[in-house]
Amino acid sequence: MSDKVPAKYRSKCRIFADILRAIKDSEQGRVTHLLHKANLSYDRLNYYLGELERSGLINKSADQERFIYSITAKGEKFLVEFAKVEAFGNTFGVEI
Amino acid sequence: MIYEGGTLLFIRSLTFFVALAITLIALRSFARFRSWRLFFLAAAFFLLSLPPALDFIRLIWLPMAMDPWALNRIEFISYMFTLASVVAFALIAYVYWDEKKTRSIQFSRGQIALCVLLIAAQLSFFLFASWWRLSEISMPDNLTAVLYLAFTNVSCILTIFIIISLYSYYRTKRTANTLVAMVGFILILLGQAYGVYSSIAQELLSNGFGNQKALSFIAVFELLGYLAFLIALVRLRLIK
Repeated sequence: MSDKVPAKYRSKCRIFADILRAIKDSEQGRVTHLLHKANLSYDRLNYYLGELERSGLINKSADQERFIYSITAKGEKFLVEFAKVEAFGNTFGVEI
Repeated sequence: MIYEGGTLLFIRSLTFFVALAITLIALRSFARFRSWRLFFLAAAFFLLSLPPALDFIRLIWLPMAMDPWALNRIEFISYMFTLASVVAFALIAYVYWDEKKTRSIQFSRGQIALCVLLIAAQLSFFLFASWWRLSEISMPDNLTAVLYLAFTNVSCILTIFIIISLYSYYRTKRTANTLVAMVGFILILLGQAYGVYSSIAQELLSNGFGNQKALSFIAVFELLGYLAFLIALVRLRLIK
């Protein structure tokens, strides 16, 4: 029998929230930092960053041939709402 | 007595409003993030609000409680709503069972043993009580009583599973609100258990346990349970 522990499942909303929190916490919002903080592969991170940008939750800007991401007011609101729902879920033992 | 003067109905009405408030918060959360677990939670609290809702209707329409025709229907609806409570607890239990996939709920051997022991004890009691009931008086009445007993026993079993799951979740997350919610479920379980055991004790020992007294006890403990949930939500500032 294998001792390998299965990876913890993360919902799309949680991944969004993790990326947004990483962008908010980082000063420069660079992809390398986000890769580490959001715990995603480069391809997956790019895919989710694209979705977040299309939804208006983040802004993308270029700085010396590098992309920099920043959180928008809508993104901040998403994080506040997510924190509330997450707390509600945690109260009743449910992961969002 | 709590039952006299509509006090019991008033307590049940309060329970209805608290359950409804929790349903609305769960629905709002579901509407925001479309998590099916939150939907199941909202559905469960809605179903749990149905039995007290019936009492709330009785409170605002007291003459209905005097009419024998209406009383028969109320009794039938009451049975259906008890079944709805069973479905509600089953939904919550299923969410916790599924939650094991996310590894936020992991049962230790001790927890599994405790869960199995309590469920086995509850099942044994149910079989004994059913045998006792079915060997007494007229069949149709007893069958209804056994069905009602079955519903409440299944509720008890599911609530035991829910409490142990929440305890397991609390051990992982260490959030005080989970503990408060767990206390809420324990209070609800105590009410259910008292309702089940006292009615049997009354028949076995003829010791003066009254049906009304049991009803009052269940209602008060259920209200306290829902209030515990409400306290947890107020602590989160979800209700201001």
